[in-house]
Amino acid sequence: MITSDDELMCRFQKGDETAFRRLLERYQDRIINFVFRMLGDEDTAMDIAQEVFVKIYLNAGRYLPGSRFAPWLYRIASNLAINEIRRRKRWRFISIDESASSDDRNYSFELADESATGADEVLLQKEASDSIEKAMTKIPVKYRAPLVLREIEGYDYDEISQILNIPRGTVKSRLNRGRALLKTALYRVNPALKTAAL
Amino acid sequence: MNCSKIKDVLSAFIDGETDSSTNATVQAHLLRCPECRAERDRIEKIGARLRNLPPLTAPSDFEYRIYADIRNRVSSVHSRNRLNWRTVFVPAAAMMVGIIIGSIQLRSPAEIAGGGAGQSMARNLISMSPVTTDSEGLREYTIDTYIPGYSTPVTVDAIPDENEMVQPDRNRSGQSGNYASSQVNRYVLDQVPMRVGYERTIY
Repeated sequence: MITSDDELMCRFQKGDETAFRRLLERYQDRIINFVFRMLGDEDTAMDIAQEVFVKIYLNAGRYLPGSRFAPWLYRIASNLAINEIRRRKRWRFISIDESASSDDRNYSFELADESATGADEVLLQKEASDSIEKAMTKIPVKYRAPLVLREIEGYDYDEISQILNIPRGTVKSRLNRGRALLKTALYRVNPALKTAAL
Repeated sequence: MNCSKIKDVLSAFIDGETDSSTNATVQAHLLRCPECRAERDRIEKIGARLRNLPPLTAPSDFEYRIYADIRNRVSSVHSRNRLNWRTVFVPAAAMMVGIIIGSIQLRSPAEIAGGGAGQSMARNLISMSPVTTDSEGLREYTIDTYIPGYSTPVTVDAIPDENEMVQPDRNRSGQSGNYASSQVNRYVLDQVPMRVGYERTIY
């Protein structure tokens, strides 16, 4: 029988270290990937993910028994990732939001069919994956966060609203806009994707 | 709904976050609009591509690093707590010593006259007046304190005669003038807290 996150957190609050270790095992890869998709930098993603679990450990007393653990965890991860992006942005990151907004409806392209086979196809698939990873880092974080939570983590709109502390309607509009921006950024990163019938 | 409005809700439709009425409208539109169908396919394919990105896995020492980090932070908190204890205790002890010394001085005017008053005497100043100027140009002032019936003489050196003093700002503008006696007193008073503890006293 799988012990719930809430039960593990309650046990950890009472001093059960193994409960924390089980939560760590359960979520470490997911948090690392979430932060990595937010930042696009593996080393920093590891550091931020580490910070997330240290914060959970040191602030376990703030967890309210009976509430949902995962949104709390992702909220901490999201805040730390956003802070890191803002910190970088102050120095060197330039948002493409403005430039992308003007022409995101002007491009269309075809993405690879997931069932494509053959050496060339594999290369193109790899290239498309790399391009998407890079394109993700080009869209503003306020659109990136809901996209990652929806597409990669599979959260519904209410959960994303809870994690990012924004209204459900804002989640909806940001996902719509984020997808359009991602499409444009993808084309900019790899113009061949526009015409390559992948 | 036209294509523009369909595209506004297409993202939520794909996510299954639209109501049944909107679902029916979008589905009907997609059946007859190839452009919107292509847009839906692109959104779905981008989503699939995102979900299929190669995942990272935690390094084998991830848990160790977390616990090491926690240990470091906990020990630094303990260090800070010890430091906080010191930063509270030392000033508190110094304050206690100051209070004790001050109370002794208030009860012993003779000690103040003997030059041991230090800063506590400056706090008790209420007025001062010049009495004499000796051969070295040192001027003696009598300083009244709040201690009833008690005054102590203090000597402050390097005070030029009032008539010889030139105000700095007037000097810069090429004009000269005299300090008022209140300014001389202010000058002396400013020096007293620093000097009263070790000045030469002329009786």
